[in-house]
Amino acid sequence: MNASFFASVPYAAEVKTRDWPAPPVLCDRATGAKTMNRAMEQALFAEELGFDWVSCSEHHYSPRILTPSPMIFAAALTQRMKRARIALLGPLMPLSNPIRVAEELAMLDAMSGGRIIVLFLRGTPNEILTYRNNPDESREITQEGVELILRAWTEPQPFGWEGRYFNYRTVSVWPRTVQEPHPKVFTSGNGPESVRFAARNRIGLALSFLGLPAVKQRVELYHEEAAKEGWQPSADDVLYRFFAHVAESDEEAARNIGTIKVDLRTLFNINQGVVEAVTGNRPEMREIESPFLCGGPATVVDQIGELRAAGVGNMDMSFTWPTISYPQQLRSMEVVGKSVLPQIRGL
Amino acid sequence: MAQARQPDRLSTGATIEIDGVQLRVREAGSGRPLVVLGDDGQIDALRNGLAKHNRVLAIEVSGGEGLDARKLAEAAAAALARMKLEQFSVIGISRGAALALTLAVFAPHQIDKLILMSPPPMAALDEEVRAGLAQVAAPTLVMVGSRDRSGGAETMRALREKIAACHLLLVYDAGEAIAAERPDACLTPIGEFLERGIEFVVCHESQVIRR
Repeated sequence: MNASFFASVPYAAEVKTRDWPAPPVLCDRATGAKTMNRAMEQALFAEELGFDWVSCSEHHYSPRILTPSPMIFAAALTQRMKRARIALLGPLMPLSNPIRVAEELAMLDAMSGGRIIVLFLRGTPNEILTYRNNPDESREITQEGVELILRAWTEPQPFGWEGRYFNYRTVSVWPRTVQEPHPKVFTSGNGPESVRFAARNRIGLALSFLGLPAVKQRVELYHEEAAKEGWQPSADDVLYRFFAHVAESDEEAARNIGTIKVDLRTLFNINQGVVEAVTGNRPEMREIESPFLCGGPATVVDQIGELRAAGVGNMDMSFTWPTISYPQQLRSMEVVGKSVLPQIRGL
Repeated sequence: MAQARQPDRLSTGATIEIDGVQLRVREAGSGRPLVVLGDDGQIDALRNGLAKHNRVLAIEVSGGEGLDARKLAEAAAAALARMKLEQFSVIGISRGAALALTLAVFAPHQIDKLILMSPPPMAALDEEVRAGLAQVAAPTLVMVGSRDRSGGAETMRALREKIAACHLLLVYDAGEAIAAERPDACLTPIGEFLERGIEFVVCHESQVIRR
């Protein structure tokens, strides 16, 4: 089981808004800079604790996650981190030029000595509106973009691309990725059609913030669809992102978390009116009462065992939670590093 | 050179037979001569679009089993000569791409642009043709579907290495029958390539959103 620390890069102060977009006037300039420095220190701390990956993501116009360009944050990580892999989970395809994404990821792979992992995503409904893209077509755009990037990384000769959403007459990416044929790639598998896409293209499956039964169901579908395509995924092909809070004991963890219900739409600053304007409301957007992993080390190791039994081989952990302070996040990471990771190495 | 035995004036669907090779020719449109080699289904998907700006001569080849590539090319060249075509562009689709390549190798100065769609595996080409690919003088466009599982992608890469002015184009979300599956996605680059050759990579479309 690979353990990934999700460097979500939250704004390093309280912000009194849940609106999206959040007004820029609420962003104190010095705090913006402090946020970046703090996030880098936290990522380095995760590597020191033994996490296998440090991940970052792409989100826009919100204090929740201050990495509108995951490439820039990852580039900084390549120069500071010496061992752990750097996972970009991930570039939002409807907001991106896929050739540019292929080029930048290839650069990062070269800069990191071949430590890049990537998850290509559609983005949350509101974020598709960041650059005024049509949300109705986000799945199709994402799928075409992924196929184009894979070709851009693997075709040995310059080529053109006559797509439905992308059209290029000349593609010829330099540098080539260090990893051959290319860095490990995941796509979102939260919906059944996306699961089929991952299986058809023989790429990894990424799930996020689902309950364990839904994780099992998606992984089973992934295996069924892959079998139809003539291949067999392993646990290494499945990534699951979730919230985690780990303390010295179950009691302490429960006390820290408290009793609140968290609506993921609210947590992710997703305006419900916008969601309704987008076709295909996301099934993963639901109410949860506690982080997926929650408890003392023994309990959490058991939970991770269940996750592994469900076919997950990579877990991406976000230590943020509305009731957990930044020092508590660091402490939780430390407990995972010292008391959990050594026990799950063999899983 | 083989002797043609069919009438000079061709009507739609006329057949020329040369050395046991039947070449059924259908003609549409007017403009620059464009020879299209392939099976009827794939040609039909493109014919109306191509005929807007070209004199399309769609040729379906049958018979001639056992003839070597050079003989086949001579038969096709003889048929084209009967039609008073001295210089023309050629589109070869699937198996027709092999014949188009053969023509391009043995009659390089007659062909001003060559387009190969879903070409067959290199192993399916005559040895003399494979050895002569460097003689292909025409700017060449090779089009393959992104879902092609017949080896088209391997062929296009090999052709790119052998042919001096060769451009590759992947047609997204199409398999082996790219013309039938995504005709509009094929017609645009084909039209631009016939018009401008390799310079079709340059975009002159205005990117102004609103004036």
